[in-house]
Amino acid sequence: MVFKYAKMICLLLLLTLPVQAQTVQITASVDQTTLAVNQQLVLSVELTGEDANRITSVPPPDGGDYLRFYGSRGTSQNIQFINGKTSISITHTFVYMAVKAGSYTISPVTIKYKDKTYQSNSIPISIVKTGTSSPGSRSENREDDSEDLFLRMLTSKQRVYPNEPVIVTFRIYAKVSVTGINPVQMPETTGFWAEEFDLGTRLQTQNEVYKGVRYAVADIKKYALFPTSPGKKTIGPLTLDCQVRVRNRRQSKDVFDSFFNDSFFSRTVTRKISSKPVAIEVLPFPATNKPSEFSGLAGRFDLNATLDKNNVKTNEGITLRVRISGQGNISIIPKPDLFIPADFEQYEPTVTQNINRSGNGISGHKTFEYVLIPRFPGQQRIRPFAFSYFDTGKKDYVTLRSPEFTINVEKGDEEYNSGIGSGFSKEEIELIGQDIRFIKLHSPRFSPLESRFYQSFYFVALLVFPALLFLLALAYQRHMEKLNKNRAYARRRGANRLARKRLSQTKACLGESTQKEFYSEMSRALLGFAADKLNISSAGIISTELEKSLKARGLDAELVDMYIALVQKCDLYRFATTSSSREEMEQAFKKAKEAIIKLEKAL
Amino acid sequence: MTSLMILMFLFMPQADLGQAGFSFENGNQLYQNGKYEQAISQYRSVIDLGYESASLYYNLGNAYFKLNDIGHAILYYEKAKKLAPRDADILHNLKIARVYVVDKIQVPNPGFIIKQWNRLITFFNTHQLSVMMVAFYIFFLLTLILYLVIRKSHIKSLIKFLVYPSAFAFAVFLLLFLLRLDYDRNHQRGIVLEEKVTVMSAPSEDAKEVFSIHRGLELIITDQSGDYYRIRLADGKEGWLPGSDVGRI
Repeated sequence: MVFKYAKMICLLLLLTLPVQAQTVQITASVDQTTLAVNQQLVLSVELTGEDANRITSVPPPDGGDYLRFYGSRGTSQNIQFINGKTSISITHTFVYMAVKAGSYTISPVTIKYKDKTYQSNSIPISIVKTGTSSPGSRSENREDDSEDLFLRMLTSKQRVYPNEPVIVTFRIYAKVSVTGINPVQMPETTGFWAEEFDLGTRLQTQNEVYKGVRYAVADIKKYALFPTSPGKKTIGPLTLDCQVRVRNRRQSKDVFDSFFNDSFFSRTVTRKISSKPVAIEVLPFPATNKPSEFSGLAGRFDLNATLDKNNVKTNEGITLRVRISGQGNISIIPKPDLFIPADFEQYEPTVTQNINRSGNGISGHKTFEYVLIPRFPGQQRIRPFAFSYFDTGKKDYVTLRSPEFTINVEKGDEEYNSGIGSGFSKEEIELIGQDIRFIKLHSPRFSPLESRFYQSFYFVALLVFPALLFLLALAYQRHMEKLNKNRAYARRRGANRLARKRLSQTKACLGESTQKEFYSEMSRALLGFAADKLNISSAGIISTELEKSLKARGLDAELVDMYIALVQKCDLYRFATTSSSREEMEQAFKKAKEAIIKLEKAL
Repeated sequence: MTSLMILMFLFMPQADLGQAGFSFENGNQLYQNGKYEQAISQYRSVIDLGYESASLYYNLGNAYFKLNDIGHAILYYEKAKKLAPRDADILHNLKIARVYVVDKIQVPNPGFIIKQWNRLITFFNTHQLSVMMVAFYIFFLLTLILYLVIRKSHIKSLIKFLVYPSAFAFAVFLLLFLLRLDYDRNHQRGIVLEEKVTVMSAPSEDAKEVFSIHRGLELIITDQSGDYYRIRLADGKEGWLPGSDVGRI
C-alpha cells in the first residue's frame, strides 16, 4: 500500500516542475475532489524553493468531521539544476479516509519558517454516500467524463473585437501515463483567421493543479484566432486519440499483487478525448470616432515610413519604405493608401512580412517598399498618409500618420526634354520635329461668336413656316376632295328622280303627232340618267362615249349594248323622217323604263 | 419686334466685320514676320469683336504652337475643328501638337462599334447637322405640299417618288442632330492650359491631391462649383481643378 502510493508520487515528480527561487511556495493537491464515504483521499503538499528542504515538518491539515487522518505516506524530493540555479521540491503525502458525506473545504497548510508564514491553497471536496457516486455527479466539475485524462480548451478572452486575437490553447490533463497522442479532428475555426503557434516538436510537460488536483499537463495546440466579423462564434473541439497505459487494477490489498501491478504488466489502450467547444462573442467596433482610414485592424501598431534620399536627379530611383509593426493580425495589413504624384513613375510595392508566432501573442511587421522614379525636375511632395487601427487596450481608435516627404528633383545628366514625356508611340516619333502646316491666309467668313443656327430665330422659322404651308395645302386638298365627293353624290342621288320626271314627260308626248318630242325626251331621260350616275357632263354626250364609260365601270356588256341601242334608236327617230306607230312608241317607252331600272340596279 | 431684331442682325455689325477682316490680315502679316505674340493679340481682337471662324482659330493655334504654348495651341485647334471638323490642315497640326502633351493616357479601346458610332456622330458638327436637317425637312414638306395640291395625275405620281426618300433623309438627319445635341451636352471638353495642374478631391484649395496633369491634356468637364470644374479624363480618373487652368473648347 505504502509502496503503491510512493510509486505514484514518484511518477508525478518525474515531470518537470516550475522553478521557484528565493521563497518557499506551498501547493496542496488531492488525488480526487469527489469521493465516496470510506474511500481514501491522498493529499500532497508540495514545497518548492531554495529553502524547501530545510522545512522538515509539515503538519497535516485538519480533516474535520468529514475526513479522518490516516497517516503520513512520507516525503519525496526532487532537485533540479537549471542554469546554475538549484530548485528543490519536496512533497509530503498524507492519507485520509472519508467518513461523512457532504461538502468540505480542506483548510490551507500553514508553515512558519524564518519568522515568515507560508500558506497553501484550500481545496474544496465533496463526499458522497456509497453507491450514489454516479458518473454524472463525478463529472460535475470536470471538462470530460474521465477524471484522469481530459482535454481543455483555454481561451484568453471570450469577448473580443474583430481582428483582436483570442489565444486558444488545447491542454491535455493526465493522471495516467500517456504514451502517444494523435489528433483526430482539428478544431473548427470558421469565422476566424487562424495563426498557429509553434510549440516545437516535443511536447513540454508541466505540473498543474486543477481544481485542487495535480495533473501532468501539456499544450497540444495553440492558436491565435482573429475573428473576421462581429457576432457570436464558436471554436470547435479538438479530438485526440491517446494511447494510455493502464494497469490491471485489482481490488486487492495484497502486497504481492501490488508488486505485479508494475508497468511491465500493464497494457496500452486507446482513449478518445475531446475538448468542449467555446463560444466567443465578437463585439462590433464602436461607431463613434471611427476614422475614415480605418480598415478593420485591431491590436497595437507602429508606423515607420522612410525615404532613402531626398535629393535625386530625374530618372534615378528612390525607395520609399513603409513599415508597420506591432501586435495583431499582421497578415491582413492593407497596402498603405499612399498618394504618389503623377510625375513619378511608380511600380507595385514589394511586400515582406515577418510574423512571430511564439510567446503570448502574434506580433511582427510588414514592410512595403515602393520604388519611385521621378521624371520631371522640381520640388515634389509626397503627402502624409494615415493608417488607422483599433487599440484593444485603450478601446479607442488610433490613427498614425507618416511624415510628409519633400524631394528635390534635379535635372539628370542624360538627354531629356521636359516638354516631351516618355513613351511615344511609333506614329508619334515620326511626328516629332515635323513642322506644323502654315496659317490660312484668305480672309474667312466670320460668324458671330457662339452663334448657333439651331438656336436662332431662322431655325425656328424654317421649321414652322413650311409646316404652316403644309397644313394649308392639306386643308385645301381636303376641301377640294369634299366638294368633289359631294357633287357626285348629289347627282347620283337626284338621278332617279330626274329620270322619272323625264319619263313621265315622255309619256305625255306619246302620240303620232308628237313623235319627235317623245323620242327627244326619252333620249334625254336615258342619257341624263347614265351621265348623272357616272358623274360626267350630260351636255353633248354621245352614245359611243357613254358606251365606253359604262364598259369602263365593268358593267354587263349585254345591258350596255341594250342601253346604247335604245339611245341610238331614240336618236334615229328624233332626227329621221321615218314615223313609228303608237305601239312601237309604247314598246320603246316600256323598254327604256326597264333599261333604266336595270342600270340603276347594276350601278 | 422680331423683324426689328433681324434688321439689327443684318445691318449693325457691318462696320465691325470690316474691322475683323483687317485685324485678321494684320495678324497674318505679323505671323509671317515671326511676331507671334503680336499676331495673337491681333487674332484675339477679332474674337473680342464677337466673331469667330475656323481659319481664325487655326491661325491662333499656329501662333501659340510657335510660342511653345501647347495648351493654347491645342485649345484653338480644337475650337477650329469644332467649326470645320474635316479640315485636313487643322487635323494635321492638332496631331503634331498632341505629340508634345506630357500625359499619355491609356484610353481603353472602346471597340469597333462604339468607335464607328462616335465617328458617325462627330463627322458633321452640330451646325452642319442642323442645316442639313432643316434642308431635308423643307424639301420633304415641299414634296408633300405639291403632292396634295397638284391634280394632274402624271405629275402627282412623279412627286410621289420624291416624298419617301426625302422623308427618310429628314428622319436620319433629325436623329443625328438630336444625338449630336445630346453628345455635346455630355462632352463639354476642355484643355489644360497650365504647365502642371494638381487635381483635387474636392472643389477647395485645401482638398486632398488626387493626381496631377499637364499642359495640353484633353479632359471632359462634368460639373462646376464656384471657380472649380469637376473633370474626367479619358481613362476615367476624376477630380476637381481651378477653372482658370482649363480652356473650354
